[in-house]
Amino acid sequence: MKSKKVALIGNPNVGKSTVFNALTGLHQHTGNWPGKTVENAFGECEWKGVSLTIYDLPGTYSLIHHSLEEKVASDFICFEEYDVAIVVCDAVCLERSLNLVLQTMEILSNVVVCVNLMDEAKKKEISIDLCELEKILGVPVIGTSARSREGLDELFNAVIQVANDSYYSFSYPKYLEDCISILSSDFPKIRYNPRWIALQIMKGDEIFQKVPEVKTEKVERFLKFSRKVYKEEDIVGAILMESRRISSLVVTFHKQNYNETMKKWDRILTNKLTGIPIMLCMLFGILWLTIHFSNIPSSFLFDCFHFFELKLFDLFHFLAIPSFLTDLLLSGVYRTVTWVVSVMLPPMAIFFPLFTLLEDLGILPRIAFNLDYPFMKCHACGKQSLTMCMGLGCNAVGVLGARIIDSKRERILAILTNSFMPCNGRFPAIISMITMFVIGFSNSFLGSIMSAFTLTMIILLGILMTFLVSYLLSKTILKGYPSSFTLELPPYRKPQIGSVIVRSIFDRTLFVLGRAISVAAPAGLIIYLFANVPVFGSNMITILSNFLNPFGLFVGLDGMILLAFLLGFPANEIVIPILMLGYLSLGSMTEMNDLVVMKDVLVSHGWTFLTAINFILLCLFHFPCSTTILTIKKELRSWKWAALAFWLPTIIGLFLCFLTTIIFRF
Amino acid sequence: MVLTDLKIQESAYISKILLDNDMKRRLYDLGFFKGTRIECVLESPFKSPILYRVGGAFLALRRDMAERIEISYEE
Ligand SMILES: Nc1nc2c(ncn2[C@@H]2O[C@H](COP(=O)(O)OP(=O)(O)OP(=O)(O)O)[C@@H](O)[C@H]2O)c(=O)[nH]1
Ligand SMILES: [Mg+2]
Repeated sequence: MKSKKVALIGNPNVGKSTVFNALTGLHQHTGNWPGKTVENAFGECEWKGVSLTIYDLPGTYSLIHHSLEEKVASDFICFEEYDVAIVVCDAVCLERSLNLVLQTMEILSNVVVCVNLMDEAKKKEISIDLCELEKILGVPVIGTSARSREGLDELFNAVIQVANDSYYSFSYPKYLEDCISILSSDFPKIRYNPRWIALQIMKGDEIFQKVPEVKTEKVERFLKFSRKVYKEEDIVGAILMESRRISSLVVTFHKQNYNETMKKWDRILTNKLTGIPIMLCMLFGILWLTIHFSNIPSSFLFDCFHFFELKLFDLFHFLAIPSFLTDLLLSGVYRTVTWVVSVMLPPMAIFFPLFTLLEDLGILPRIAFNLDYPFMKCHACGKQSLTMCMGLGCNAVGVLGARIIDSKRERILAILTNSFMPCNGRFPAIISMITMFVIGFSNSFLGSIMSAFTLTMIILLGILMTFLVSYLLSKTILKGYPSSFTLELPPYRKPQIGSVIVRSIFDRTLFVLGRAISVAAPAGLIIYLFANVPVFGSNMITILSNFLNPFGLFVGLDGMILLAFLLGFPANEIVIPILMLGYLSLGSMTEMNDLVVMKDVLVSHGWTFLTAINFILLCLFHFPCSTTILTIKKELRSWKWAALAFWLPTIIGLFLCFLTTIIFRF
Repeated sequence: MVLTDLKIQESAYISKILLDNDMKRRLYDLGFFKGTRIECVLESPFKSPILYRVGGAFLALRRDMAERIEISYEE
């Protein structure tokens, strides 16, 4: 069977991942903001007997990269070997998209132009003459609306049929043309367009690493002169003018003010008086919905699991399984896992869809727009707030998302401070502490409002700390000035509610939950063994927690809490079950599904209001989970930064606990 | 005249970009070039960044950067 490698490229947020999903039937994440995809992904599909491997790349404005996610894309486009490139364009801003089309067509001959978002253009009364565009460019041009799967068959056909062997060329100023012909006259046979290679040579040495064979003697001799006369502006200008010319030939605007609704909303969401309060209300709203509506399913799950536990217990008894093993499996593993599931599943199943909804609407970049100024004052980048939003879901995702920040220094700031945003795995622990010790018990409406309010305040504390630490870091080890900042605000888009719910539950909730369970099961086993296998006339839990106890008490906590956080390093979700197992193993076994019972256990181990506050503080400020640390190591390619990301929040957290303890005791 | 002199809802044409090469290149890619029509859309709550419309796209620039882009009312 014939096979083809196809790359999907285009400006950020034009729908590449949506096209990719439509073509391959996969579920690459999409979202209405530039910079959603930061890594290459590929998928396979078949069309009319040709097997296609399709690559989804991060969005890029041009083939000269500025940020890391753009480098991923431009390196792929320029130097990978593949058969066809689909350049996805935005029908609403065709001129800018054409800029990338022309740059690509200078490098590749087999290009298919996919003008996506045709439905949006139609709504804004912009018409595009696709036939004319095809004639001008000399490659297939297909109009699509990927979200509603329109035009995909034509796109498929074009991809398997395209066989173009000439590059699009337009003329540069004469001096450049002369240089190009002198340089390229001496090239050996290469699989790249000689014109493009010649331009790259004039630009800098980088190209010689990728295509060493063009570094001939004559080229080197001519290099100095050609680089002296080379003005990048002339090249860019020529390409821009050409796209402007083409777009003026094919695009017609039938309505002058086609952006009025978007402007109207933006005036409210970014207003001096209403902008930031609205964002805070949204945060509060999401938290409230999450807390309020997860109470009932949570206790329902608890009851179910408890019911099964009793049945399992009978079964084990019936099968005459040794009681040690029964306890190990049921009290150790089963309880930890079911605790994690019943506490984690409902809030995640509410939080993730809500978050995705805001993401699809296009709210996220507005947050960055509103908050850029304070970040700039801390010598950081406003896009850091995007990574913080992602961090609320999962810190590892937040760290990866920091690729959208252009400057390395600002990216490190965003990565190091990301764990100040409590991820979903930490919500339940914080919320149950709030419920038990701050507000008292109530599943009522008022109770959940108060909990959500307190949680909002806690997150605000995290945000404040982010600003403070970013500022301090950029005055000390990460010295430097804020670099440039450009941010594109996408149009508001109607989210597809059905698919949002399905996708966020399947892709995110179940994924995160699966990861938590895979940690919770062995952790439960180990804790149970620690607690019950005698060592030196005692057990490991007691020994370890006694060892940590003096320091724990010193900072207003206790040894078991510190131990639980340490053992919870693989996943924050298991801190509370470990803590409870630990306490319970020292005393008698009780159920831990009920907050009232849980509070009794905690109080009987010396917990006070202060302990709860300190627990919350430590939960907010401590080392990120192991997955996040590994992601940081991978992203910054250094254990040094990973170590700093580990110690920085930990020291802050312990210090804050110490501080509150002192304040409380006096 | 520079870009920050543009009042909200006013538009003009870019005449010159006085930034370092890297930044200039970035702006070119976003469609900021000599002769591009640009409209000031709104300011953020802290007055920086400022949102501009270029073609069909909405782009935010920080004030210090916008100050270094010269504009004129005539093309
Ligand atoms: N109305 C409409 N919306 C679309 C269409 N295609 C994609 N979208 C929406 O556009 C937004 C961006 O889509 P993505 O597929 O994530 O864009 P992308 O090009 O992969 O973006 P990056 O990964 O950030 O570069 C999403 O909210 C999509 O639902 C379309 O044909 N019509
Ligand atoms: Mg994408």
